[in-house]
Amino acid sequence: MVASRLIAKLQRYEGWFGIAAGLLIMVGLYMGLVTSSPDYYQGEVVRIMYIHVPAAQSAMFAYTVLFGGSLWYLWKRDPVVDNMCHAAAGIGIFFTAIALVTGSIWAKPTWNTWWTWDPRLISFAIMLLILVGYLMLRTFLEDKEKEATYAAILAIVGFIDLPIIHFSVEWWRTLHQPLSISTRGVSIARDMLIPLLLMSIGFYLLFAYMLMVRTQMLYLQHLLEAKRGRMLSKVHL
Amino acid sequence: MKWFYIRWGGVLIIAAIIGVLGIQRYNRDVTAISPDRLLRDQPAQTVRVIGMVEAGSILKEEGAVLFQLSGEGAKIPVRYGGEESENLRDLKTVVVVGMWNPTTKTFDSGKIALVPNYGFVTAAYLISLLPMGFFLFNMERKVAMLYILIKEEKVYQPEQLTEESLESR
Amino acid sequence: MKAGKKTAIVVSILIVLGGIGYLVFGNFGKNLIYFVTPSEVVAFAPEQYGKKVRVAGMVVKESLKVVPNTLRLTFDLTDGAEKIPVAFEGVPPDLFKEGQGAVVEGFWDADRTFHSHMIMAKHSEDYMPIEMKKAGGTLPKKDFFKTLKVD
Repeated sequence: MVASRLIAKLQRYEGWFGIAAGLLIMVGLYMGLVTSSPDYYQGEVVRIMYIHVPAAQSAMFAYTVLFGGSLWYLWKRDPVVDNMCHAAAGIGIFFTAIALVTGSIWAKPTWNTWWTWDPRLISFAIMLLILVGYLMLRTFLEDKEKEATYAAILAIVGFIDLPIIHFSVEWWRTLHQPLSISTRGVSIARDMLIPLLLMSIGFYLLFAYMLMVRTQMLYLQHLLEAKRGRMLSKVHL
Repeated sequence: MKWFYIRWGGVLIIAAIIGVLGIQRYNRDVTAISPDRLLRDQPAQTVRVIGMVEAGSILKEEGAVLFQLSGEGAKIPVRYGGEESENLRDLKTVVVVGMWNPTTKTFDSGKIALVPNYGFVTAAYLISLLPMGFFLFNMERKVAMLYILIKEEKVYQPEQLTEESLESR
Repeated sequence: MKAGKKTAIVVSILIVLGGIGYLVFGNFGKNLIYFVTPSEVVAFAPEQYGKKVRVAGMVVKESLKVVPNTLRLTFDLTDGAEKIPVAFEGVPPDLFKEGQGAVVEGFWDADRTFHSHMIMAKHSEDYMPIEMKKAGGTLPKKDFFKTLKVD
């Protein structure tokens, strides 16, 4: 059995992504929590934005990677690509949950409610459920090839939710505020925009780093499983 | 495996330092007492009192605003002499900074601050960063252990996992 | 595959599908119109009186009145075209103030007043420091009334 070339590349370059993400997030956190000013309207709670927005962006990016990877898998049938999709879903669900929870914590002092049935919130919760369904599907089937194919199809169908999430605040009446950064200009003061951008880029890099680590994890697990001819999960993983 | 734990030890130390600095920075802004405590203790130094502006109690005077601040079953009259604040509204919960005047039985304040809702901010960051750290730690540990297992069981030699060795094959 | 595992699969697929179905058909459909505007409320037919709706608008400046020693307050809500009086009972959120957006939950009645027990603050998409606001700073601000998406 030979190591995949992609896995070798991941192992080689993951460190750079990890370090870059760590540095950006550290500076972003410092600026966001200490040096940036409170908002004229929301006060201190505006600081939640510096983690909520990057988490939500990364969650949507994770799903986009999952979508692209699924198409690639159906075309090339490369098991490493399937591992990458599986990894992207596992990390994506994590970021989605963080975005929902931090959003809820922000909404209580700002909107005066933890949750409301707003189109943006509903479509985001749907993404969480699609990812839950995706990961559940991946535990059911015994035939690996079938499992990967069905999962890829589910991911591709579920992608329809992404444009809905993004444009929900433009298409429909929502409590959630519209896009702050759009073609009509930027409506965030520079003092707050810089930490937000740092955290955003940091989170994208963090996602990339996590994806590299998790893809290796799943690949190696499958490799060992194949060698031993049984499920590895009971050993220690 | 040794480097893995050293690396994560470093991350933990940095996180702890940032946490302590953060707590020191915000502690002074967070502490505020209730009107009830103020009446009981009658402290002689500048204090921060948190309470709700009683509806309809705001009276504008020459150079000062008078209002009632209520909380925890007690009510205190406040005389606010600072610049006009848009936070001073009926039914709004605010923090007034100033001193208790025992002779006039009023609280003299020069500053009205918003209720510091650092609690929400702290909760949001802890609830995201702690699980994230744990998630990543666990994932990296698994990968490190898997490489060791794979080496032991000779599934393939991890040393071969460099691009050069793959290309030269 | 064992029978127990199969049941588990079917049950969990049903839960996920049910959850998505509930969100899409139950809430999404209903909440595509998350709120109505004061203009639409004014045009309500009598059979819509007393039905629970959400109305969004801007709290008209100088319209907020508090009944002393109670938790009752009244104010006007506008979408730029029409204005409706709102009677509210409860503690308003901290971010509720004149000249800002709000979503109120309640019902419109024959007395041509909107009765509400729940106010949510509608936040605009602009963010700036207090000092900047005090110094008269502005951002490429979008019209608040546009976010109400009045046709």
